[in-house]
This record gives sequence, C-alpha cells and structure tokens, in this order.
Amino acid sequence: MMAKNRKIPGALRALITFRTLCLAPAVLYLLLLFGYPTVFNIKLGFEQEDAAQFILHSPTFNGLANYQQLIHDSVFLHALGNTAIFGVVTVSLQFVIGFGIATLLNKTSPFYTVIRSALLVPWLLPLIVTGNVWIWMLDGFYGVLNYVLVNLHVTSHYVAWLSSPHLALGAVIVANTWLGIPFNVMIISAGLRSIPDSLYEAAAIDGAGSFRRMTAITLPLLKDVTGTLVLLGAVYSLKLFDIVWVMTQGGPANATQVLGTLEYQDTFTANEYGYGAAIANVMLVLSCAFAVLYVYLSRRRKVKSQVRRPGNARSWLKEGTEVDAHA
Amino acid sequence: MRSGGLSRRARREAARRAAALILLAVMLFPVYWMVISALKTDKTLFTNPPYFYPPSPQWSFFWGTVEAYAHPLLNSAIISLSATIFALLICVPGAYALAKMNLPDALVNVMLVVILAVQVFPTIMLVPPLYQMATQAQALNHYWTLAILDSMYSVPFGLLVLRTFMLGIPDSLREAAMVDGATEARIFFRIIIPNAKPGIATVMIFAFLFAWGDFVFGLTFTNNSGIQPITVSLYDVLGQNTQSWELLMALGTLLAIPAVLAVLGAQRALRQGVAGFGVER
Amino acid sequence: MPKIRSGLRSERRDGRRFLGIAAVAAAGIIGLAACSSGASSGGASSSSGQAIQPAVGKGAITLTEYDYYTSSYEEGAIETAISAFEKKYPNVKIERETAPYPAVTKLVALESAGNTPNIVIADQDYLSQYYAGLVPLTTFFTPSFINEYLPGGTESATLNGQEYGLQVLGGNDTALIYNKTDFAKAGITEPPSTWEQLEADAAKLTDPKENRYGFALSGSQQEGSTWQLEPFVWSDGGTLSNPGGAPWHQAMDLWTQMIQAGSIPKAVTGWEQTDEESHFLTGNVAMQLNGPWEIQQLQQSGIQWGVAPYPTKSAGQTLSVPIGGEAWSVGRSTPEKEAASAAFIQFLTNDTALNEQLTNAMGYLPALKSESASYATKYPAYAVFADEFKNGKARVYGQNYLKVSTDIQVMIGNVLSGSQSVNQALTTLQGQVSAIPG
Repeated sequence: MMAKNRKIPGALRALITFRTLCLAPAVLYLLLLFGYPTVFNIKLGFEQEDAAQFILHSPTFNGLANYQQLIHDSVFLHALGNTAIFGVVTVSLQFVIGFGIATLLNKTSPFYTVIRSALLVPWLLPLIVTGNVWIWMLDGFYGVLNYVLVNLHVTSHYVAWLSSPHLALGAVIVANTWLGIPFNVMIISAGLRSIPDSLYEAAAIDGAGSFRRMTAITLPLLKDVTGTLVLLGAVYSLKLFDIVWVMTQGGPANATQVLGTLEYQDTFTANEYGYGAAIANVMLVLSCAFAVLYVYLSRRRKVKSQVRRPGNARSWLKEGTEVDAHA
Repeated sequence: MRSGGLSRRARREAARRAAALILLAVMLFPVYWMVISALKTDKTLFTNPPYFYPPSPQWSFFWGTVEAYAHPLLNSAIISLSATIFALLICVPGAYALAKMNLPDALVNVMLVVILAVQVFPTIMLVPPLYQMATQAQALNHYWTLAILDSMYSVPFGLLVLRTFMLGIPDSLREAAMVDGATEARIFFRIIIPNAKPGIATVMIFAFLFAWGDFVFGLTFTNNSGIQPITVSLYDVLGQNTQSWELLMALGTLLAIPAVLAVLGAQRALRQGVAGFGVER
Repeated sequence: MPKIRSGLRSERRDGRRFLGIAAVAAAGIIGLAACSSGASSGGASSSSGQAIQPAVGKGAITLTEYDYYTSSYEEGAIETAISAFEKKYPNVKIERETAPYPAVTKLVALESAGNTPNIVIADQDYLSQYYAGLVPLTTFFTPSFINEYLPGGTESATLNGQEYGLQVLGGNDTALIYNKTDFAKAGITEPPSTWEQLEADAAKLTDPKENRYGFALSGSQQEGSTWQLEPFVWSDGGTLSNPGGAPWHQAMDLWTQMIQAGSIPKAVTGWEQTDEESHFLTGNVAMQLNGPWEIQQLQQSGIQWGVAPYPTKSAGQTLSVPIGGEAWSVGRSTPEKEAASAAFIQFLTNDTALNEQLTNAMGYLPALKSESASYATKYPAYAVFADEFKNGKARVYGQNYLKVSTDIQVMIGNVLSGSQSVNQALTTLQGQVSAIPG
C-alpha cells in the first residue's frame, strides 16, 4: 500500500485530504458533543457546587475532597457494589441464556430467521416503556407474574417484588436481563454462523459428543464475540440509570441504588453537583479501564497453525483458528 | 433417510421448533401484556385472576389516543429520521477512515477507547454543558438540534459496527479500482458504500430506534409542545396526579411500534449488519 | 394497582392564599392605574406608602411562563389565568412552557444558560436548586401584600432571608381519606382521631381473605413519604433536627406495629400517593393518606368516601401538617419583563373571585388568608384539607431539606420493611441529620 503511494505522490496528497474529510466529521462530533461535556464534568468533579453556584457559574474549587468523601460514603460503596452485582449477573445471565437461544435458533430456515428477528423487540423498546410494563407485571396485588408463580407453585402468595429491599434488586435485574438478551442472541448468532460446519463434522467423526464439541470448538471460537459482549455489557451496567430509576428510583431504602441513580440523586436532590460529577467521573474511569482492556485483548494476533495430531481435541480448535484468521 | 412415519430427525426438528415458539412467547410476553392492557377497561384491568386477553377490546380508546397524540408522534418521526441521516453522515465516512485508511494503530486504538468509554455518561449529565452550548448557538427549539443530539445515542455504536463491517470488505476490490485509476472518493462512493449496505442498514435502524426512545434531549431542548417528541408526552402522563394505566399502556404501545416495524421489515439487514459486528477481528 | 412510575415524582402541591383587600388595593391601584382602567377588586387608596410596585410598561412585552401543569384541569386553570391577564394587558403576551413534574433539572439548565423563564411556577421543595435565577419578591411587593398569604407557603419559599415565591393559586396538603362503606361494615362510626383508634380501626378493617388492608401510606423513596410522616411527628412535638427524640420513636413504633399486625400492606415501601389512591379505588385499602387532588377521581368512583384530619397521638394535641404546592416566582430578566411578571402575580392576587375559582379548579386550597377563612364552608368536600392548610407549616431545613428528607425516606424504608429496628434506624438518622447544616 505504501508502495502505491510512493509511486503516486499526487494521489498521496489526495489520500490525505480524503482521509481527513472522512474522519474529520466524526472527530469533530465526538470532541464537541462528547468531549466538551466530559471535560466539563471532569472539572466539576473537583469542585463543590450546588445548583445556585451552578447557575451563577461560581463553583468553589475543592481538589480531591469529593473523592475522599466518596470513599467513606456508605451509600456510594453500596451503589458501587450493586452496580457490580448488576453487571456480573446481567452479563453472565444474558450470555448464558443468549447462547442457549442462539444455539437453539441456529438454523438458516426462514422460520428461525423470523423468530430471531422478532426476538429483537424487547431490546428496541424505549426503556420507560419496558420499566412500566415490568412494574405492572410485578405488581403485588394484580401483577400477572405473581399469578403465574403462585399457580406454578413457585411461590405461595403474592409478593410485592419492587417494594422489598431484598427482592427489588433481583426484580430489576430480571427486567434488565430480559431486555438485553436479544442483543446477545443477535451477536452470538452471527458468531455461531461464522464457525464452519466442517469443524463440527470432523469432531463428530472423532467421536466427540455435543457437549465436547461445544466446549472445544464453539466457545473458544466465540472468544471475540464474548469479549465484545462482556465489554458492552460492562459499560452499559456502569451507566445503568433509566430502568432502575423508572422501576424503583434506587429504593426502597437504597436497596437498588446504582452509580447512575446515585449520581442523579446526589446532583438533583441533594443539590451537590460537584459530588454527583465525581461519581460520574468514577464511572468514566471504570469505563475507560474496561475499554482499554478490551482494545488490548482484541488487537490483531497472528495465529500459527499447528500440526494436527490424531485424537487431539485441540487440533480442531487450531484448525478453526486458522480458518478464522483468513475469514 | 426417512422411514415410515416421522423419522427421529424430523421429530427432533419439530421439538426444536416448538421450543423456539415457546421461547418467543415467553420473551415477548411483556409486550403482549402491554398491548392487551391498553385495550382493557378499568374493570377488567384490576382483576384476580388477570385476563390473558382483553374481554372487550377498547379500540376506540386506543385510536382516540393515537389521534390525540398524533402531533408528538409526528415530531418523534421527524426527529428520529433526521437523527438517522445525521448519524449516517458521521458514521459512514468515519468508519471507513477507521477501517481502511491505514491509520496508525495507536490512533485507532485511542479512538476506539474513547468511543467506547464516552458512552458511559448518563445522558442527563451531558445536558447542562450541551444546553449552554445550544443556547449560545441560538439552537433551541429546532428539529435539527434535536436530530444532532439524538444521534449521540447511536454514533459511537455506529462507528464501531460499521468499522468492523468495513474491515470485512476485501482489499482486493479497492486495489482493483485503484489500478483502474479511480480516485479515493470514487472508491468510497462506488465500491465501499454499496458493499457496506447491510451494515449501513443496521446503523440506520439502530439510529432511528435509539433516537425514537430519547426523552432527556426532547424535554430540555424544546420550549413547547410544538416539537416535543412523544416520549415527553409519556412523561407528562406519568407526572400527573391520577394514574391512567390504559393511557400509559396505549402510549407505550405507540412507542413500541417502530421497533416492531423495524424487526418485521428489516430482518435481512439486521442480520447481515450484525454478522460484521459480532465477529471482531 | 401498580404505581405508574416516572421516577421523577415527589409529593404534591399546596393550597392557596388570599390577599388582603387593602394591600391589594394599595399595591395594585397605584401601580396599575397608569396603564389600565381599574383593578377588579376593592379600590381603596394606598396605605403602604412604599414605592415598590409592579408597573406594566406600555410597549409589547412577551413573557415566558414555566410550569408542570399537564393534567387537563390544571391546564384549564392556568390558561384561564393567562387569558384573563392578557385581556387586561393587551400589550403583554405570555408564552407557556410545560415540563413533566418536577421539571427541576430543566429549570436549572435554563437558568444556567441565562434563559430563566419570566414566570416560574415550580415545586417549592426544590427552591434551593433554582432560586439563583429568581428575583426576591420584596423587590415588587410590600410586606403587607406578602402578608396576605398564609405563612406556611411564604416560609416554604423563603431562602437565605429572601422571599422568592407566593402560592398564588393555592397549595395542598394531605389528610386521612376513608371508605365509609367499609367503616359501616366494620361497625366503626367515626374516623379515628387518635393513634390508638387508628391502630384499632385499621385492624378491624383488615380482611386478608378479601385482600383488604385497613390503612395505607406512602413508604417509597421519594418526598411523599416524608411528607406523610411529618404530621405524625410534628403534632407530637417532634422536629426535623431531632430524629432521636421520643415523638419520632413513637410515630415509627405506631407504623411498625400496624405493618406487623398486617393492617398495612408490606407493599407500601414501594408506594407513592398514586398507588395508595389506586388501591383505595379498587377496594384493597380502607384508609389512606392522600390529598385534595384525588377528590375529582373519588367523586367519579362511586365509592362512599370521607375525609378526616390526621390522627394525633393523644386527643387534644394540635395538628401540625406540612404543606405542599408551587411557588410562583419572578425570574431575572429585564426590569420591564420582571415588572410585568410581578404584575401577573399581583393580578391574580387582586382578583379574588378569579383566584378562588381557579384555586378550586386546580383542586387546591387557598393560600390567601381572606379566601381561606370561608373556603371550608363554600366547598365542604375540601373542608378538612382547607382547615389543615390554614395552620400548615413549611418544610424547611436551611437549604438542605431535600437531603434530610432523603435520609428520612431511607429510614422509613428500612423500618417498614423490617430491615432495621426503629431504634437502629432512628439512631442512624440522628447521626446523618446532625451532619447536615440547617
């Protein structure tokens, strides 16, 4: 490629111009619409500012005081823990269930295609709609979920799920998982379809059962997909706000407080804009950490193919990796 | 391979299909519940045991809701469509640059990290500085302001998806065109874009749907109901003193329609577009 | 019935106040005589002698008005008010802007960009957030004018010694709403007036087989819960700054006993006032704490309902109820627009007939003293609410009321759900409140 450019110096100049033209809008866009507010909030995290000061643009510089306070804030630590629980449980459940569904629907006939598409609806609904539908279904007096659970003898009486500090978190996690499963199914399906059937056939000939085929072939080859899903899931869990706020507002008694809702509450109810921004900055740091990790782990790797040894399960894997590198 | 009657394979397939249908029913049950709740009357809404179908569907109420909220619906449509166009204007060239133009790895990595990380801020946090910017630019209360803001939900995502997708377009096509003397611009328009159509379609759909679901920008950056989207109307209903569960579910159904339409009408595009995204290289 | 959540809710608003005629005339006539022909109420001579008057200029003026009145009856009222004012001052045009309740984040964004609306009608609970863009009303009105309003609302809108808003079309409060039919069936002749009676009645009214509970309150993590606890605590002599004191213990003990006895559904830790109402309407709850905004729905429901004041711990204690509602304020702007905005407030204060009509249309209680005097007789359905409102108190804790309230809400949630004992929760609360400057 570089050789071409040396041969055509005029085209090189043209290349730079066109490249800039293509990239410039995106860069400008990100700087202006994301960059400026980010810088604004980073700065705000080092200030003490209530709404009045915010309005009058007269903050008080506070140094690291907000962050020092955060470390000792039990509600913040609790929210951090909740966010972590949310993240881990949601991402794992979504992946496991998504994997199961994707495997079940992993056929090319129109029947399965339509079903895969129809399954996208939960993910595409506005969150305020999802939240309120789940509230209605979880209602302690008239909720259909209670009716079903009692009649299936899973529970013995109606439960007000969102009113209980012990159960509310679980209930919101269920709603959150539900709405993210379709996205997982979508991505995993695409990943599954890129695995050549020949690998499975070779493994079957060698006597591997379906479970072994899954662990030795499917899962390793889905590493990229899994990585993407985990990263996106982590970032999404960090910024979780809408579904929790609609369903429980962080209550009852802070039981479902997560970083996003706490940031909102501390800013707009407790009137501490600087403190809220500090929480948001913690979210930003964590998010960057995940993003850096992801980019590091998914940088292009050269894969050596190995000599295939008979009876060696990993040999199918290597062959698959080789295929992957060329695909 | 078939013997008399259903073979084992056919039986397995039938079981598989049945399982798929049950799965669909379970996953979409909340949506079904919402729609029938919109059609129930007060009396049939609060019953134990609940009705699993609306006994006397209140279609007139539903259509009345559609009529009453036609203007916000139209606003939402205009805003979402404009946001989609704007997102494409940013994402398609940007993804191309990130994918194909041999930028230094470090730069691409930095951009990727940035694109991923900036999505973490809850939208409400971005509002005050953006609002100040918009006020200074005299940009309040315009459709295109909301379009640009709503595109923020999908541009980072779109850049990532399209970049991955474009990485999959073989270099050979480009090289052949260059040998033929095509300029970069021609290659972009004549080769890249047609080959990236599924990915572009995917981004279009997501951009529309994410913009459709926006509430925060639609609320803050408009002064009056003239251009407010329907999500704000939904919050208006919620903020009132008395509950109207039927109205809420009816509005929720209206809000869900684009999602259903997208799924019905754009399956192939969704599927193909995602194929490029899922398998990251 | 489930609560529809916007997640942006708090408790409801307040009743209304009357302006004294003299102050109205004094402030109004002098200021407005230059531009309009006669105020619509009383017409005496100026007695205040102070020069502060809102005077509407002659040229075309456009004002922006900001509120969260999105229900049809509220919109009807505010738009009637605006039309009446525009009719009186044809050169003034008011553009109305609404946002869903509580609309504070948008208001703060507007103010921080220098775009404060001219007339701001917002929840006074949040005043500490948005006052920086407002003009103190003493710039326009004499103390006697302001004194025409009941003190509770005025105090709610006072911050740093400055008065920022008036409850022009009134405000609201809460009281005990009960189902008369259920009472009759249980053999209860009168609504409870003491805590003991409340506990006993609630137990009598509870019927697990029918899925009916005797009593409901708001226990979720939003302002409405604190708002309902305050009457219990305050009437017994408790204060916000001393949650470790006996009144708090006894109030929380009462609630705990009732919920443990099964008279209050466990679901209340997730309920706001709208949930109480919806379960009252479906017959699942026989008594609830709610406000006058429910009256229209109650009247249409076919239920035989009654209203009673909050029970006090012992008979004869003075009831002390917190008030809610909006403060009508003037936003910083050009002197001309500020004056015109103040004139809007003054116009609605002077025109007592219109004021009362609109207050009633809003489902509010009058904040104007003279109106308040006769409101209970004129509108018997609102009598209990109006009487409570007359002596209603402001919810203040320096600039940090909402912060304190959040801690209280968490305490309520912990106690009602059984996660913490009353002692534990109140000790924690005392520690938290002591650390908050007020």
